[in-house]
This record gives sequence, structure tokens and C-alpha cells, in this order.
Amino acid sequence: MKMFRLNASILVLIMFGLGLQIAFSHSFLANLVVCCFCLGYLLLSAADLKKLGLVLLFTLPLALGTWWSFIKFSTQDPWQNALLYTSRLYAYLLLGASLLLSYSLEKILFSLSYRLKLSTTFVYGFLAAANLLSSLKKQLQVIRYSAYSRGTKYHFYRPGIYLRLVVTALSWSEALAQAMTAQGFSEGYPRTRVFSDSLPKWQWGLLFLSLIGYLALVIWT
Amino acid sequence: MIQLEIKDLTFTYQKGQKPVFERLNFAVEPQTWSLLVTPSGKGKSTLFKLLSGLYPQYGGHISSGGVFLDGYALSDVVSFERAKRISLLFQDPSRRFNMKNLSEQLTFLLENLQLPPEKIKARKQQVLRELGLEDLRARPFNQMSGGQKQQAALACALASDSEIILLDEPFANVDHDSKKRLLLLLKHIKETTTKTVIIADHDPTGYFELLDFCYEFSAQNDRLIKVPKQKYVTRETFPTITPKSLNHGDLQWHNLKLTRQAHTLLKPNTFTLPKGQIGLLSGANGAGKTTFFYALCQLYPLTAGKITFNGQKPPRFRKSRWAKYVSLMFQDATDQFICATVGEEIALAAKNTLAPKYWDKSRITTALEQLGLSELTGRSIYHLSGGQQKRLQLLVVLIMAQPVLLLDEPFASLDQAMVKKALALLTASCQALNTSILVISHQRNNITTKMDYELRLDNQQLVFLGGQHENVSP
Repeated sequence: MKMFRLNASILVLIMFGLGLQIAFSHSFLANLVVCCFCLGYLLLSAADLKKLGLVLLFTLPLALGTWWSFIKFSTQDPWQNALLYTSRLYAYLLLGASLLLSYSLEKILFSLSYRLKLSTTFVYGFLAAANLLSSLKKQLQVIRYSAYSRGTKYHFYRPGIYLRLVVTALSWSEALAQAMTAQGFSEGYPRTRVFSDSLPKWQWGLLFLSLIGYLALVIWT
Repeated sequence: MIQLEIKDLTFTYQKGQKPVFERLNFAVEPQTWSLLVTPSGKGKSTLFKLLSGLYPQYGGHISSGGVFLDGYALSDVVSFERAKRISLLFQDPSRRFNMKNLSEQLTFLLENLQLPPEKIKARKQQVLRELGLEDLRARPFNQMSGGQKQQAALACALASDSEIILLDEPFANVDHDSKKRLLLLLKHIKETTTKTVIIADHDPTGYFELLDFCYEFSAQNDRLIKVPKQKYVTRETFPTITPKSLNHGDLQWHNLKLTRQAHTLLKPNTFTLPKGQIGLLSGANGAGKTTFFYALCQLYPLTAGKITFNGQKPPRFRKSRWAKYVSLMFQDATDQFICATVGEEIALAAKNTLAPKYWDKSRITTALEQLGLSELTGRSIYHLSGGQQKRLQLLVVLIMAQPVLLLDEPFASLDQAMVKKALALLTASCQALNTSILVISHQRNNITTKMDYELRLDNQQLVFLGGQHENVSP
């Protein structure tokens, strides 16, 4: 079966567009519809269901906490508020999951850069930082051992170790910037692009429809 | 044909400081292959960064003259235009990758150079095939060994197909067989193209066939002059080590087994590191030498077996105590330092040394002089050259004087004279303090004579070379 996937840029726009509306709306039903649509999309797009399950499981205590605090402490309409805020939490969660579980960080950034003119300096800088993050954990171990073998200790609560980590990260970023320049990366100049990004016109329509549809639902309920 | 020239250049790192170069003149001779010979810390990497236009953009100050590409000031040329013509392999390539893996990195580079997408794929495949790196194309950089990263960086330097290629210590961490393979490839490039290549390397062995001549600084330091290659370059040799009889020792590993994900790195192995002797740990890039060192320091989990010091197992969760027995000199020098300046680093080591009688003030002062560091005590560690960082790192580790020292590429970026001095310090303190020392070094020249035995990590086995020894069971 061919996977059904919306374009990453469209997903980002839907996420922001709906996200903004959800923040101001008071419609439980509208949030529920968003959740259902997102779940449907995640199933269709063959996202990693195990990851989705884990995400839902981890947020369960948060959702219960939200629910419980409204039931217990809300001065008016406790059930209404509990439903609204819990559904809002899941609507946000599933909107985010629809984007992040169907595309890698690179693909999202490349698509945004191509479709929505996000600056390539930001895209490649962000990617470089993301790639560095995995090295930083190892670096922390290295820093602690090098301190031990010099007769000093870095405890996790001592600021010294974080300062050292920051200094390391700064020197890495300088080295990386030099390397990117040496490899011909030039800010504000055209580059060619291997990445292909298909965006059928109807997906723009879908974006428009989803935003209007949500608004209509909110007004109607 | 491209003309790259330095005219009357005076360059300082900071205004008011002594210039690194004063009124320097140099014209890169097109279509020649040369070796740049300078003593460690005399501005070799700085020169390469000037020639590729990274300085003064990323630091330093030009107070007279400049670098010119076909008559244009190089600093005025946009970086993608520079990169089309000049490519640079950095001395420390491990922190120079902004993408996740080699395939993505090559795409990034070729997109910057505005190569049409249909050609990018073909160029990538060609480079990966020529360098024999197809297996590494999708491996994340953080899972590559130091030597593998260096080969990946070479792939990037060659992929841009630029006319001038500057290689700053291209083989410092590369194993003997890979170096031979890559030198053959470079020779093929030399025979089939009209490129201009300048290599800087403190270990000049193996380049003989490849080079036309060497460059060195003139007596007044104002010119780079051509000298015959015979002056510096020798043919590649592979000195072996005749093992001495091993002393007993404190650090022992017993049936030690290491794995990375599903792959075995080291099959069960037992050995005792002898005291008062220096061993060489050799093996191909990516064999797991550094990981093995990490395991001995408890920075990498053991799959099976145990490591003991004087019969005691490392106390769990107490790395701080273990670090008093076993010290590691990291491959990347900046990992070692915890202070801001050279002087502070030395002072901290002198304060906490485990052998205060041996490393007294006068010995430290002499060692600083021998390693050419005594004038740099006020300098920030990040403003040292690669070779200076290595020397400081070695000295700091020696002063701390743990009973077991594991040194990962301690001689990289050191010129041959400095290698000898560093080795003299190492052997002297090894014998005086009865230290167990194990060294990873891909460079063998001038080093093997001071080594007492060799362990080779090959096909997941750690083998004692040069005869059967009761101390080792593969």
C-alpha cells in the first residue's frame, strides 16, 4: 500500500494555524475532531505506531493531572473545563506527532526552506546543532573523567562542568562554521538542491479547509 | 590555471601581538605536488587557513599585503567561488562535519558548489568508490573512529574537484594499510589530473613518490622556498618491534569482551600491562582501539570479563578513584584540558600530581623548555596550535603520573625532533616511576625503537606480536 503523506510544510502550517485557534477556542467537540483527524492521518501515513503509543502513554499522567485538577478545583463547570483542557492537551500532542512522526528533522527543515523560504543558514545551523547534541552526552563523560584524572571533581550540581561544556560547544561551533565556509557554504547565495519535495495543489486546499472547518465547528458548537 | 599568491603579508592573531607572518611572500606553483615543512607551532595551519580564505574572516588581522586569487583579494571572493577552486582538509577533521553522515555531507558540499542535482549523485558515488569508503557512506559520524573521520574528510576535500588542494596532516590518525591505499589514489590523481597539491605533515614518510619538492621557510621567515624533496622525505618503512620480556604489572584484564551494538569489537582476552615498559597498540582504523582504551577507563561498558588493578575490581560508580590508577590521554587534545591557560593547566597538574617528588618544580620547568612550551604559559589553550596542544596534553598527563597511562595518538601533529623529545620524557618518567604505558600511534618511525612490545587489535583479537607470550591468551 502506498503511504499517504501530507507535505511537511503543509503539516507545519496546519499545526500552527490550528494550534493558534485551539488556544482560544472553547469547543471540546472541535478538539475531539482534531484528535480524530490526526490519529487517522498517523495511521494512514504509516507512522511508527510504537512511538505513538509511547508518547500517548507518557502523556497519560499529565492528562490525568489536568483532568483531576479541574474536577477538583474548578469553580464553575468542572466537567466542561476538564474535558476542554484535557482534549486541548491531546489535540496539541497529536498535531505535533503528525508532523514529527512522519518526517525526519532534516526533511522538515529542507521542506520549510524550499517552500516557505526559511533561511538556509538557519536550516544548516540547526541541523549542525542537532547533530552535535548526541556528541555532547559523550563529551560530558569525557570532561568528568579528564577532571577526575587531574585530581578534581565535577559534580552535576557544580556550575564548573556546565561552563566547561559551554566552552567546548563554543569551540566546536567555531570549528564547524569554518568548515562550512571552507566547503563553500555562502549565506544568501543560491545553492542547488538534491532534495525533492512534492506538494500537490489540493494540499493547499486541505490546509485552507482545515482552518476554516475548525473555525466553523467552534462557532457552531 | 589558477594563480594563488601571498604578497607582502603581515598577519597577527590579535592587534599588538607579535605577527605570525611578517612581510611574507609566496606564490603557489601551479600543477605541482609539494610538502610544506615547518616546525610545530610555526603557523602551518594558519598559512593553510589564509590560503583558503578562512582568515581573516574567522579571526586574525592582516596589517599589510594579502592573499590573492588570480589577482583578486581572496577575502573579497565569495566562499563558494573559493571552495570551487581551493579545498582544504583540516588538521582536526573530527569536529568539522555539520551533517549526520558522509553521504549527506558530500551532498551539502556539492549543493554549495552549485553542481546540478543529477551530477551530484554521480560525483558522490565516484569519490566514495575511489576512496573505498562505500561502507561508511551512511554511518553516522559519531560512530566513526578518528581515522575513519579523517578518511571521510579527505573524501570531502577531493569531491569538490578543485584545482588547488591543501591537506593538513591528512594521515595523522590513518592506519598503515589505509594510508598506503590512499597514497596510491593520490598518485593516480597526480598522474591523471593537473591539480596543485600542498601537503603539510610532520611525518613525511611515504610521500616520496608523490612529491615534486618541499617548501620551507627562508632564514628570514619572509619567503617559502623550494628545497629538494630528498632533504625531508624518506621512503615508507614499517619498522617492527622485537618484544622484550615483560615485567609483571598491576592492571590486568581477564576474559575481557567488548561489543558495539551487535558487533563484537574484542573477543575474550586476558593480559597484564607490564610495569616500567611501554607498549604499542596497533590496528586498522575502526578496529576499536580507542573504544578499548575507553573500556579500560570505565567509559565504555564491558560485555564480559573484568578489569582489575592490583587484584581489585574497579569500585562501581567510583570513576573518581579509578582515575587515580588509570589515566587516559585523549585523541582530541582539547578533551584533556580543564583550565583556561597553559600556565593554569600546568599548575593544577603540579598541585595534584601523584609523584610530587619526581615532578618537582625544576623538572617541570625543564620539561616545559624541552617541549617548547615555556614561553606560552600565559596563552589560552584554544589559541595553541594542534602540535602545541598535543605537547601540553602529554606533559600534563605525565605530571599527573598515574601508575597506568593510556596514550591515544600522543605524537600526532609533532615534528620529528619534537617526537624524539616527547619520547625521551616519556621513557624517563616510565622508568623512574615504574609506570605501565600503552600507546596508540599510527606513526611508527622514530617511535618503535622506544617501545618494548606491541599488541595488535585485528579481527576482534588482541594479539601479542613477535612471539608467544604466556601473558596473553587470545
